[in-house]
Amino acid sequence: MPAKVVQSNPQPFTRVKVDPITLDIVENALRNARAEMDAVLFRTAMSPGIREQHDAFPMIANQEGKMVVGQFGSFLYGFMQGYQGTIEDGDIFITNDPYSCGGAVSHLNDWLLMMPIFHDGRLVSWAAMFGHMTDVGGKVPGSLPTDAKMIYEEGMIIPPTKIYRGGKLNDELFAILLANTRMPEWNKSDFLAIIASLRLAERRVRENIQRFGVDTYISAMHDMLDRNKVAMGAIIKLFIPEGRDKASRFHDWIDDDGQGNGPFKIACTLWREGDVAIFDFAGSDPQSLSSINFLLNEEMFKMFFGAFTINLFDPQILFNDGFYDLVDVRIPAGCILKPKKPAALSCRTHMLGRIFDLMGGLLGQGAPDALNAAGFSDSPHFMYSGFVSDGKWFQLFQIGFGGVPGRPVGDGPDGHSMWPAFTNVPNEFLEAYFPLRIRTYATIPDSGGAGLHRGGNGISIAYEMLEAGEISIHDDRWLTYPWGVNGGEPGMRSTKTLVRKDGTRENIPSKCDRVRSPPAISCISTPGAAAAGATRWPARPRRCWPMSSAALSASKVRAVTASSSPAERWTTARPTSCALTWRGPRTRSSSTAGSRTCRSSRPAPARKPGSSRRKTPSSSARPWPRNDRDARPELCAGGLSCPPALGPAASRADGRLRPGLLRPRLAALRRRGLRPRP
Amino acid sequence: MGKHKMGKTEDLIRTYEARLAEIEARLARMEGAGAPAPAAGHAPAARRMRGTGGLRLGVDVGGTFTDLILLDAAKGKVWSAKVPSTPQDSSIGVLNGIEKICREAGVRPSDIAEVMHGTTVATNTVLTGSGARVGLVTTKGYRDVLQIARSYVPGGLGGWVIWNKSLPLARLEDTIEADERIDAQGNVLVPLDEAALRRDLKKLRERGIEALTISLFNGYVSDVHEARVARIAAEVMPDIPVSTSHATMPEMYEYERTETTVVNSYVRPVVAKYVANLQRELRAKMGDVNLQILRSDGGLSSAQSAMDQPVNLLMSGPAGGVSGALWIAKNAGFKNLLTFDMGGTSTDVALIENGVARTRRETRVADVTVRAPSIDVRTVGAGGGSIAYVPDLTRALRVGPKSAGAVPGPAAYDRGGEVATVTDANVVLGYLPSDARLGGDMTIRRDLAVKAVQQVADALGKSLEDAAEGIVAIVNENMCGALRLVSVEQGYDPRDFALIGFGGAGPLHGNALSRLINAWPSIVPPGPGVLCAYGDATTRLRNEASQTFVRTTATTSDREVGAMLRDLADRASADLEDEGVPRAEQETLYQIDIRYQGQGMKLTIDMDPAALAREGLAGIAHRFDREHEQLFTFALDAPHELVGLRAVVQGQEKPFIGRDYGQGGPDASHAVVHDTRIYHAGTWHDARIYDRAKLQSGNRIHGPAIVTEMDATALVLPGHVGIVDRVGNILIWPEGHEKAR
Repeated sequence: MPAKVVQSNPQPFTRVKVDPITLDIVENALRNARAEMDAVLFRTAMSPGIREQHDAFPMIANQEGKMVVGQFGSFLYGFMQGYQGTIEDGDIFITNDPYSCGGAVSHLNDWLLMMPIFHDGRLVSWAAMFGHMTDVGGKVPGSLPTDAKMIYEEGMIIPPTKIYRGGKLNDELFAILLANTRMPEWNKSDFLAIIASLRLAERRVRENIQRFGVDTYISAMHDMLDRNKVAMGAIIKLFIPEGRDKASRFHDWIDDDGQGNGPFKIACTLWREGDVAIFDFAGSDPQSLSSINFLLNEEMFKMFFGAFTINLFDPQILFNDGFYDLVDVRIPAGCILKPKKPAALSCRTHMLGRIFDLMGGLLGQGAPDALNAAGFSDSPHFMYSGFVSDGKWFQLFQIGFGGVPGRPVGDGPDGHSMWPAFTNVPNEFLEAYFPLRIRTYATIPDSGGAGLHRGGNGISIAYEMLEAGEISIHDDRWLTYPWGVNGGEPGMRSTKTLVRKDGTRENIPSKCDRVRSPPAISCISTPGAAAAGATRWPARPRRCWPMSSAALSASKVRAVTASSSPAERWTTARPTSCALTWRGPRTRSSSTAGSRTCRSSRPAPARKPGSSRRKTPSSSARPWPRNDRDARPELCAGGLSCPPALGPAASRADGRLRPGLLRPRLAALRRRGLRPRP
Repeated sequence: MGKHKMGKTEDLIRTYEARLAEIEARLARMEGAGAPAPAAGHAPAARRMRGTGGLRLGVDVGGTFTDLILLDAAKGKVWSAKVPSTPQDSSIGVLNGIEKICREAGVRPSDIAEVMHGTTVATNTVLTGSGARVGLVTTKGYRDVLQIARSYVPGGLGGWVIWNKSLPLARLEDTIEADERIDAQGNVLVPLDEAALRRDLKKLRERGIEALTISLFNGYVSDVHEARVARIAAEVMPDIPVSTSHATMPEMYEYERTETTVVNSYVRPVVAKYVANLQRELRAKMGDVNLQILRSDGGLSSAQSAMDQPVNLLMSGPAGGVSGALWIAKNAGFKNLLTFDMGGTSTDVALIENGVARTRRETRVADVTVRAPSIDVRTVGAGGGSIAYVPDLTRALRVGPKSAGAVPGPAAYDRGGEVATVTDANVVLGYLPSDARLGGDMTIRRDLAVKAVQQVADALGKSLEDAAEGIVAIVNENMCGALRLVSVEQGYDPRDFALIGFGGAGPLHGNALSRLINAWPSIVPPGPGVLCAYGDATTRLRNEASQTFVRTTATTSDREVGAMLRDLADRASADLEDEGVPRAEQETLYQIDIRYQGQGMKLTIDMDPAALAREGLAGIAHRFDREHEQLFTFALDAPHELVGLRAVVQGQEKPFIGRDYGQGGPDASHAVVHDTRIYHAGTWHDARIYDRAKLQSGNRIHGPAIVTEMDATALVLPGHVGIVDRVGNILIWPEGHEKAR
């Protein structure tokens, strides 16, 4: 039974005709309101994740819960369908439970706050925002364990609950929430900051209603949604061929789950039936017993798709939920993108990032000249916590960045974010407030693939931990390469190295927890990105490299061969033989499995009986090549089984594809009046 | 054929000869030989007039025009002049202007004691990418600080697909790393490797860098290594100007500090050359004149400190406008004011509360953001030249941020522009009559404007007039968004403010904007086009000294903070004294940056020394709590953390000088030029055009009406009335407003 909206004014809204200029004015007013929500939040929040990195996302929706301004699409409709209670003036709801909002938030760290906005006794809008809390309890600091088997290990679950009733905070409930986190001060301040943002949105919505009248306001929101639908309808017809027989297929891989299993495949097929684009994820791997699962919200995926394409045509448009009827996202239940409760979700961030690559590969087949290469496309996390010498607890959660792909419009930026709004944490800030010293914070020369538009470089960060504590790391793309397109070369993969005080170096996995850190240095190299387009002339000037100092040479840092102690389950972060032959025992349940589409080019090494963890082949004694791009296209997702247009090896052989130039292409499309192809 | 060619060549020779003669004449004048004779009755000044008694000249160099204002404090007189700018060397335009204004005022250039100058030369250097080749010294491990920046990609979800990052102002190949390290407390962890540094600096010199930036990690805490590197650089490359981050901006955050210092280096040679050149030419013509440059924060700095820290000049131009608005407001009796300066390509808005412009600790120019204090001016890409278009896909009406610029300009200017701009819409609607003067020499062709706007109308499926009104409405909405950023977002209610519109296009849109945000009256100052120069001429000398000081209130004391602020005030005060303001004429204000421990932002609390002595840290914390609650709806019981301390020292206020606007009755019919028609709210209205020069204080102008003057046109909408106040402003109120009676 859906939630009951309590309204003292039963009069229905009248749909009125909104003249296009008023519509544009309302659009700008809402756009400004959203910018103001961000400004208030970033200024008042305390956790570096929100205040410095901006891991929080605002939204304003219409009274039905459809997002009119925002970032990731609306989850309100689902909430209103599922919530068993009343929605009243003065209420604010909180939840962090991915399973009760269809994945609108995808892990427990994201606290989602939703506020209905009433005017004159009627529900007129919603404001909502979610923000990543540094800690929500659970088995490890940061609440993102790599070895969780069930979601209960990841922290406290808050089902959709009224945290404000009649405008008043439920202090006791709030006290319970704060009692279950390692960082109550930060959570409290971040929570209040989000509330302040929502209240601001409420004021703006009411001002708009006063200015234009409630019927005009409600109708304008409808019209904005419709406008998106019309625009996206044209784009869908332009980009996506009709009929299942003309479907585009693409898949990519998540390397591992931190438990010795992997890689995991996500596959998608795209075609059009009439006006509707269909994304079918059948063929993706089944859900995992570990926490690499990602509960993909269908609405959010639609938003990804829309944002990807519409950016090319009218970047000024206020992008919203309006076109959702035109997209049908099919995710088989029980697959890694739609796990069943209580599957663990705390490593989901890589899958989330990989969606960009998947989307690029799928859509690019319809428009090879508008094709982006693959980027770092995961979310490198660094967490460090412990007690300083005076007994005070410290805890850091930090998100890193890598190479942005080469794109038809130009080279990929180095060490930049592929997520909207994100920024890095200044290292001087880290040194001033945490027992840390950051020895290096630099891009890795040539870690971006070479090509007409080179991929962005990854970043190399050397953290020196000054206090005993624990670190956790999440990253991916250490095994598979960011793939290039149209002959562009793949990007370099990631590595993690721990240098002990006595000078011993040790490669550590890309996903790990509880790495005890007596003072040591952790070197993290995030992945580079691949290039778009072949280099047709000898060398497009790459990043220059003025330093000759050996100490600075990134290759030195990474030329670490395995020196494993038997106690460590991982001998090297970078198996140098064909890594796809390396497959650990599958801990996933095979009953729901579709057949794996991954084919290895070499036979899998024999597995030791009884060993649940796997060592990589020891050919890694070979020094790691400085340039990690010595053409192993078989390791690029695109090179495995995707259409020839995408694989670097294939496209090199096929000289038909020329380096993409987006603008002329778009100009041509516009001249054609954006009609679908015959 | 040959004859024809010959004729052409002869024409060319004649043109060149004429130009040469002109230049020679100017040179002669500059050397004083041909200076205009003093007007009859004006005795040569017996001695140079100094300080408040002398003649003050305000100069604002814009993209198209150079504006000048000459103030005679003793006689209470003011003159203004407008001459074309000379982009290849702005000082020529300035000197032409000086000559013109002196002729009009009947004074000699040498009578002018002070020249106050707002300049966009630093801004333009950044905008056009024409700065110096900058070498950068970072700490080992941080060479990419500018490449990585803050990892931010603008735009929403998927914004990276279309975003291209602009190149950093210091190239990577011109970046070297110094082997050294200082920790967050200022202790030296790794001593500086001087031999390696020397070697690398020599390489940089050979590469041909023109300016050097030194920005070392944690350099905000201690400058021991930066200073050492600077000394070595001075030995290795004595001719190259060196900027250190500690001297330019000693604040935490390595990227922002490095970027700020690099921008300082980047604009420094250009600005230094310009200022030195101007100073030399002024001295040649005017003797021992005191040249001062307006800074982004609205203060004035000496020519020398402008040359050393040009990063403080990036908003010098807009700051002049705000200062001018401040001056107008003060004299008209308004304390709370929203300003908007609408030019051809962009509009700058700012907020003045209690007679003080709100400032912030950063300055933005295009892609470049630096941590230098500036008046909180927000710029939107909406101006008279903003282009209106209708994307095929969405059929929405968009205005800007693309602009037709000066060339080809709006279609109505008949310089080859064909696309519809805001100006064209104003012409179509009759707001900008075809006989309006735009600095004298531009004509307006309504037929061309109609043709351009018609394209938009067709795409929208609307009538010509409705499309034009739509364009104006959208551009007003964009400006309204910027006004909200400085008002509502900062916790101010626009209804408590008056609005002042200036710049070429400001007075046309002021009335409509006032209506949108309910800020009354809408003020049209006299000479809206030269307001920036007014601001330059009336600004006080100002200096400040600051220090990062990160400490919770519990771990410091009233005494410690008090002593540090006194030291800072002494430093700032001594510098100001050197610039000619005796201590007795100085005012001191303390600013304390403070936040809740754990927050990333900070709020600045202003306190005068007496209040600090009385209330101490508890008073600071209390004021912060109050402001936090006002801005963000909540206060916390978390510990308070000081972030920075600053002392601001200002010279005394300059007295007001203004023209006498006489005293007239409510009837303004003597100023009517002719009748016209304007389109507003869906219909045509009969309206009158007034000549501003003939208006007297007390006159009432009933809308719809258009008021024209030398450099701007003002619009009074139907249902509104403009009243001329005693200092010559037109105050526009809604008809029937209590204050309009």
